[in-house]
Amino acid sequence: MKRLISLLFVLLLALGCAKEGQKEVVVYTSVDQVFSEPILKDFEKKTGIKVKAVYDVEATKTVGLVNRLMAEKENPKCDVFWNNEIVRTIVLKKKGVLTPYNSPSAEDIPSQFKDKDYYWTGFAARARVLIYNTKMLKETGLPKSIFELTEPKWKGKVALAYPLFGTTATHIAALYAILGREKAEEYLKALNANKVVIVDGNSVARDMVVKGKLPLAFTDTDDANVAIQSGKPVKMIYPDSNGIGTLLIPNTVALIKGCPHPDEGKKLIDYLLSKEVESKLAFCESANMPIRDGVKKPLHVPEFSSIKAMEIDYYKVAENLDRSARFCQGLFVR
Amino acid sequence: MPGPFCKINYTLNTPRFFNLGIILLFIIIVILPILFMMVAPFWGQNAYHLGTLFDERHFGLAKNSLELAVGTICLSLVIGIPLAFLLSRTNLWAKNLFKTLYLIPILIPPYIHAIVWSHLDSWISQFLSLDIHSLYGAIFVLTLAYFPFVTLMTISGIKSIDRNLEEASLIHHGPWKTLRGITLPLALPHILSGALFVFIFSIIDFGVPDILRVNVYPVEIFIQFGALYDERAAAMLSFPLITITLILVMLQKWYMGGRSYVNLTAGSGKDITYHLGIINPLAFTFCLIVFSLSVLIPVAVLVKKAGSLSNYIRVLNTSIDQITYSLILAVLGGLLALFLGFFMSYIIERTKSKVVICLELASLIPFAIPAITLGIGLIKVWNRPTIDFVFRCPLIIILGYIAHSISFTIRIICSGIKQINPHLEEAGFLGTSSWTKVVGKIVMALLTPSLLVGFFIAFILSLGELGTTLLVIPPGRETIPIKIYNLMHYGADQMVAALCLILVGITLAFSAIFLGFYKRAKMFLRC
Repeated sequence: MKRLISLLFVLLLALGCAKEGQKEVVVYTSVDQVFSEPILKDFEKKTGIKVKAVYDVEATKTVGLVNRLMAEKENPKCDVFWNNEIVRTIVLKKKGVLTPYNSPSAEDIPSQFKDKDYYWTGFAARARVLIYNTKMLKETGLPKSIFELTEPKWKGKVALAYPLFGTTATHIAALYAILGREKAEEYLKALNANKVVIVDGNSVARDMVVKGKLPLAFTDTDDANVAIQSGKPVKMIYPDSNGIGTLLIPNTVALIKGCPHPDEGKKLIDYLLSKEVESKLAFCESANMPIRDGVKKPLHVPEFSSIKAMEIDYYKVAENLDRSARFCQGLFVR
Repeated sequence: MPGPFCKINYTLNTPRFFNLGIILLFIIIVILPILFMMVAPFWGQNAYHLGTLFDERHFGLAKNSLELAVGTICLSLVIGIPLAFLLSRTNLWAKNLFKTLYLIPILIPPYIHAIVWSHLDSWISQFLSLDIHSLYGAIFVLTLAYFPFVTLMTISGIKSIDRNLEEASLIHHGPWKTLRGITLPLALPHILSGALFVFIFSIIDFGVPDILRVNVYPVEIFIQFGALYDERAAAMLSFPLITITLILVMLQKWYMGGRSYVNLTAGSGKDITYHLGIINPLAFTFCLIVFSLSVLIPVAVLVKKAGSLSNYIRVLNTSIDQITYSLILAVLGGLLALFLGFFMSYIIERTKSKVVICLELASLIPFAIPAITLGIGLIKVWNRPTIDFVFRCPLIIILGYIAHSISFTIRIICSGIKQINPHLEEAGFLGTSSWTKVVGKIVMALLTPSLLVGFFIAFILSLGELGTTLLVIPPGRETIPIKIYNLMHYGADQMVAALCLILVGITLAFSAIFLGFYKRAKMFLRC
């Protein structure tokens, strides 16, 4: 028995229970590991600071890290939260999990993508777009607005990810913020009456269009771009360019209040907000759109100025998240 | 087989401080995180009242969940009972092969079954007229994942029947009447125990309904966490699950009496055998269909999706750390759950005290706790500056594994201890005053098969665990299930399939080793 206990103890030490001396920074990120890991490795190489990351998992399960950060609030283990969207970062600010940091790298980032008290900073945006199958729909018959999708011709032909999680929840909350509760709920009811197909995540919605099961779906530019770059017969529509505009969802980065390695955390934030990282995120498969000028990007990633962005106060979006989620929960029961 | 033995009227000579230490350890590791989550909603300024949280929609979801669980039980019984009879009482073709293979489906995590069948949705709707993304689809998938519990328990039940009763019946009645009138009723407690395990697994399962887009009660708990960030409401929503599970497990415990739960290789070839005659091909086809649906098709789909050998090599190259890490953690989790589970079971079975009844009830609660609730509870209890080392290292994951699996370990070991006559221990104490020798050389030796099963179940549950691990895993580390879900989001189907196959392969290899040990232990005891 004594031998067994000694063995267990040694194994635990070997697994990393012993304290380490090297400089390190802990980051929790909801950005897909395939995109975020190379960037974090580059930071390690440049600074010699070891990055320890926790990556979030599959689309509808992006609950782990935000819940974990809230639960760890009294004794934080994380230094930096790198979120692939913005609203849940605002939720964390409201819950008192974040601390302000005004990064020098964020000077040229437009003010609409920064918290006025520097609790978070946005960069490298995705857009909420419509993806369509080019074999099933002709250019002339494409919808220009998401509001056309309540018309009979789109009945049962449009996929939407379950609107309680991820960027779809953000999108719905943004509609609440810009249209008002009554009109937004009217629109959602009309979508539901028009038999919108609810699926598990944006990647599932995209795959249904790629496979030709449905001609059209709501999705994000990163999900759509993966399919386009691999030669699938799909294209994107940036909707409502003559109306409310397309919703842009920036990545956000924030420093955790009371974090164990604040200096290293700040260095990582400076790096993530650099033009170099924004360019890398534009060139990788996720094809994030740089939100400032002078960032190198491939041709298929549009200029920020060429898109009509939805003029939205992200704090209002966050305020509406709970209300819109509860409404969708009742409406889109599977 | 000996019947159950009564609790003895005194506490055996395990030192009181040791008993208290074990109970304390159990409370700290298993009960405290759960208690924290259960009590928190009623504390503080914004305390909840049970009545304010539940509304009509919850009853609708509960109805869906009950339909899912009851449907899964029914289909599992329809498949599991005939299979058990064929494997234990007939001259079925390739019986020994099926006997080795029928447990494989429970070694494949249910979410992998769901991933595979959702890939086959068009095929299944064409040939079986079944929409896999529906309640019936979820029942189908959960049945394929869990029916072996019914088969396993039914076989154990049949093996424990006194063959004289069946032989006496066979003199006057035919095989069918004997099966219906004697064998089935006598095996019923075991069959119902198998059904209960299926019920618990399917009513708290989140992964399969989530992948198949079926709205059930656990999804609501998840929404409270994931969309509304209300951990207190989420914890409160677990109450009905805990209550219903406790009631059912208590009922089943009472009905089972002192019978042993699991008996993987019981019997020594002297069982009654019915000759199937002309229906042997039919029975063989039935077994083949069940095995194809639950093992061959899932594995074939994964092999096809995984593509060429180079994909496996790529996955192995990029995941070898995660595989090693997962294996070490699951082995440690299994061993520690076994250690704690054994001594808890020993205290429960060999002590006559009212406290023991509370302990036994407490040991059933983790059955019904959703993984994410347990994860948040672990953070709240262990993430403190004074005991920082626990949270900074994998010990926290192991604590999660123990809490996740200990209910099963305790139930299995308790039923094993019931089969040991306490007079053997008394006799042992006449020869030595050392309780460690008596427990080690008599109780643990006689209990080896149950201990192996207890360890094995804890190991399998730990290896596939996702929900709790994600919340407590130390930064910079990953386990295989976390890696699989990460790759799923990215849409790397080939790598997901290859990694799933590697996970299944590892589980099968460990199962084969385990079965070898188990058979040796059984043979040793028989000698």
